[in-house]
Amino acid sequence: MSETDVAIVGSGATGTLLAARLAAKGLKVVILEGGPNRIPAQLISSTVWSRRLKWAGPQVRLAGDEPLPFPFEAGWGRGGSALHHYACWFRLHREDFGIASLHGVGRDWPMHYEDLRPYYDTLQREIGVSGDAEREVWRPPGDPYPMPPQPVYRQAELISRGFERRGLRVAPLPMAINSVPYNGRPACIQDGWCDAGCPTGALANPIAIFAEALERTGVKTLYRAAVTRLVSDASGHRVQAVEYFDSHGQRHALRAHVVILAAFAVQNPRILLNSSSSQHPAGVANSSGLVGRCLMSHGAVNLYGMFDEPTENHLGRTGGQLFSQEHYRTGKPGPFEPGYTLRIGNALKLGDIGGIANARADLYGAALTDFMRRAAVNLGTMSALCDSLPSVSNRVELSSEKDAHGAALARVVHSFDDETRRTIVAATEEGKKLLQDAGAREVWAAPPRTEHLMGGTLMGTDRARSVTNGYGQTHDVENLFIAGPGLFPTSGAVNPTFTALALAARSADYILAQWTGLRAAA
Amino acid sequence: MSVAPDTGRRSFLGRLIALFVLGRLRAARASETAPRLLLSASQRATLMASAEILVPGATAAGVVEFVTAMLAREDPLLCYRFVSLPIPVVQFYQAALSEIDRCCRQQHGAVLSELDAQRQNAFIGALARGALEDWRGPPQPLVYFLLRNDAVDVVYGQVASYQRLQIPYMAHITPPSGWPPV
Repeated sequence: MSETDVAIVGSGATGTLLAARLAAKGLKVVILEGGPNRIPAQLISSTVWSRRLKWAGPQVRLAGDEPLPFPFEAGWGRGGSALHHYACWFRLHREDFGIASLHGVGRDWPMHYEDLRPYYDTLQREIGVSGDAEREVWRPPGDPYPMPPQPVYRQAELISRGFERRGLRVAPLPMAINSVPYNGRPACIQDGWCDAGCPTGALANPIAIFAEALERTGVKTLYRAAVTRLVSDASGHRVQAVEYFDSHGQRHALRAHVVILAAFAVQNPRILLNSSSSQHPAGVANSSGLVGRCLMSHGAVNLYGMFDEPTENHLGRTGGQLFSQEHYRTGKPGPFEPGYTLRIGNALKLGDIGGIANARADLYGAALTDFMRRAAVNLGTMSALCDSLPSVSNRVELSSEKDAHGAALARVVHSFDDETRRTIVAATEEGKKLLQDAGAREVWAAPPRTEHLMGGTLMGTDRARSVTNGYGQTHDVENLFIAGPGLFPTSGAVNPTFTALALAARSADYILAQWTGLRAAA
Repeated sequence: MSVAPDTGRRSFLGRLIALFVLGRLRAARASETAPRLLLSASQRATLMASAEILVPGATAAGVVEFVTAMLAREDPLLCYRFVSLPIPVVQFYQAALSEIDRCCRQQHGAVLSELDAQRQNAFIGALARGALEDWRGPPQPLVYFLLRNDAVDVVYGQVASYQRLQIPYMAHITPPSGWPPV
């Protein structure tokens, strides 16, 4: 049995950030990654070949009225889902941290915005975020962005006319994509291949931003290491080791003083639930019964307009060019009124799930050919991202099916509540009007969908109503931490990666501050 | 051609998939240890005919070669990857294509490629809406969705597709030509 100071499960955004932070202070860190290694040279610009980056691990059974698109959202291999993320790095709003106090629904976060602000500020400076803080009138207090905003192309200019005519404001999308060379990484060339993984390093994926630090500090990553369970000590208060299988099917146990699960919002609960023992009959860290519960996804909808003018929709970034939060929730106490963010002017490819051909999935034959010819030149798009509240019925649970190593597969049940469905309808109607006001000749919306995965291992102050404290440390097991958006008590209505990283940076500081105690207790 | 947009498609599809999965799970498990069989000649012919109706140009763009090459891979890069069904992908395609064949013969006394354009379009439109009667295969809208996306992949997913529409491809790393089963 090998041993390390810190074992991290998952090599995605939060796992690699924690590894870099902890190893920089001299801790010996091992990352266990279920998928293969990836190098930038493998990030082929193709809507087909890029599917290699999407989940290909143990299957996840999907159920509910709005099943989560887990295989599309999750990543497979080094870099995890952040290797193909769109780098829309929003901050949560101040009021997002106190939904329950303000509105009597959902849950409060175990911290205030001011607790997380220093981490947002530090990360955007260290990693690089482009944007225009002054034009983001909805943004909570924070340092200005270290890079100017990204360029805006014809598609976003056209659509923003609709906002202007209605007296609504837009701002450049804050993106962890270089608008100018920054920290030794080049500027984006605006080719819209973000979903295929960015091999130049202009987009802040985990390889671009942490590979050098991990190598310099001696972090060891084991690829194709399928973690099946955590092994607790006799007291049940500590995790002793992480059990995993290598690519030859050989079982191993890695002892660690601290274990961090950073394997995303479905596999983290799956590992905890699969680790049941006499000390933890319902799974590790599950005295609350909430492991796997309150899984969340944003309600989302893609909105389309066909313009008479060319839109240059092949230019820019997949995540969009501009955004508006004029329909975001306010911090005013009272009944909960869900809000949404509108992201404007996504760069489009012809094929794939989010491509032009699926903007009208009902078309085929000659009608599709005609549509493709027009849409490739004249289509404009934006998307709405809507609030979603936690519900215990939305969950990760164990399936009766097993993976190749005998560990139960995850089954994910997800349905929107009526509030979220109404918000999607409202955002759809508003978005269509805005596109009409922008001058689009034809306007339509795709069927509603889910976007992002959050919750399932909620953090909170009450151990009966949460799985971890505000630092991601599980209430039940002192040397076990969770990282990633699975910690979110509520979703907000923005992309989650920046906040997940800010939380991970905060956890790293906490682990380092508590290290003597965490280790001494071993 | 188009079919009416169905905003409840996701939940409806979910229930259809669940029903189909329950029925096929036992068979799928039994075949897990069997060698991976690819498509028969008639299944390939049905794939070609369906794809050409769905996305004109699919045959010339190599849809049959694409799907069979992908099915031979350990990790097929088809949109099937995103639906997470407990049925091996090859078995899904075999079942879907054979059922199109059987259903078409039953309704029209001929296979899909032998129908005139009007009846071909009507058949595919009914498949999209889940309206083919006495259908015994995987959920019809799911079959439509996957076959259509396979055809889109070859007709609109290659460098030449962008050149044809005069849209810059702008690759960082240009994809290999063809679909090697590796």
